Amino acid sequence: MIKELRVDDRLIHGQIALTWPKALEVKRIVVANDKAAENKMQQMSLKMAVPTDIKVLVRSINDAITFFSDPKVKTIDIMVIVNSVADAENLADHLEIIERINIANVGRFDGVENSEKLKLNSSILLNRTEQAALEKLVASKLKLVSQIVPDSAAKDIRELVSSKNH
Amino acid sequence: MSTVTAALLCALAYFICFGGNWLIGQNMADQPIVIGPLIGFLLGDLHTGLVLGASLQALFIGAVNVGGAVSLNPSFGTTLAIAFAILSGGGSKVALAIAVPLGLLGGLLEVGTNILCAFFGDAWDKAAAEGNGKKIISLHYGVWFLKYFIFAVVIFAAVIAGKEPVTLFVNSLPDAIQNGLAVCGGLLPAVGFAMLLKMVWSNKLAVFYLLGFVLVAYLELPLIAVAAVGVVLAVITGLYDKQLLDISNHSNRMTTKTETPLSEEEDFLS
Repeated sequence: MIKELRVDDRLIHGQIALTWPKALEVKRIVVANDKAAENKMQQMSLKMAVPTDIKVLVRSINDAITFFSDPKVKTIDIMVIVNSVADAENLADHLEIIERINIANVGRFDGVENSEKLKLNSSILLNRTEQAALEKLVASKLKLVSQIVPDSAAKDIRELVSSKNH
Repeated sequence: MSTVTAALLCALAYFICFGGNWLIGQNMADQPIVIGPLIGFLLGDLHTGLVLGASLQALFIGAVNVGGAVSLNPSFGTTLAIAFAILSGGGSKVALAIAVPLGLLGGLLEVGTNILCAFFGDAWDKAAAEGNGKKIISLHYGVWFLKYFIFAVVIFAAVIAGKEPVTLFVNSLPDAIQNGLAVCGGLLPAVGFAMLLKMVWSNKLAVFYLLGFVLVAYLELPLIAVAAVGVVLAVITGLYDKQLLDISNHSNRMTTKTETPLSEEEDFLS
């Protein structure tokens, strides 16, 4: 099962390496990102960023979908990290083994002017493409939260969205 | 010793320990157990500094700031708490009562200085694009100096401004409150260790936790003896782990020639 699909524009960093595997009780992290899958250097640094007992697999979005379609994967608990809501929506569209989607940090480094983005909270900034992807996720039945670290409260994304629309 | 001299010494010690910790790797020079005796020595009361440094170490041992998420600054709280404890003559009761609030204030200051340092980010990018190595080096040390110099100035000002009020405050406290503070001070290390356990806990550690409990609560061993037992266990497990690693390296060498290695996916799932 995918215990959590996390959207984080920094992929693996301290908050993830040190707190989330323990909280979710997972030993495996899949980074699904097209750019990282082509960049050996970034793969090395992603793997270096986790404690030794955690395994990391870096794959493109399409390869990740193929990988998660393997029935063997269903019996193993995995955390998946993507860096955009659009990638998360793409994975969620193809896979049915996602327990929840956590939109933690997104949209700060996408090169789009901040004034053109929808700000859901201080760490979620969505450009047009991302907003469209989020609308699709909101329309689905998936559990959607925003939680930076396990100690902070999990906020319901649908509530954040509806409070912005009023 | 005049208050100004004391404040200068505290600021200097803090700059060396806190700044030094972040200049050369993360060498833990900013831990209370290092800063405490140093402040004590400079202010002429090494014993108090050492004892309070150890108590505050137990209290702050779980206070680890991950990434940019700063919660509190243990060295800031330690420096001021020990300085006030020695200068006001209030001793450990004062130190343990004010260390945590001061540590939180130091955390706020650290967030502020981090924001300030972030303004230099573009200069780094520009220097890197120009291939200007010298500029990057001077930025590295310059911004480091700026951040910790600000902290040192704040410590200097806080010691001068705080000495009188803290002394008055300590002398005006009724006995009941002083005793209460002493009792709470005794409880705080338990909070510190609880925070540490929350970070490092795994089920494999449970048995060592139990052992520590037995050693202290039933056998009533002093902490030095418990630490020695800890060293013995660490060496035994370390040697055992190395043996296991050697065996697995050896068997890998034997098998890789005949079998096809696992694909990355298979290795990930195994």
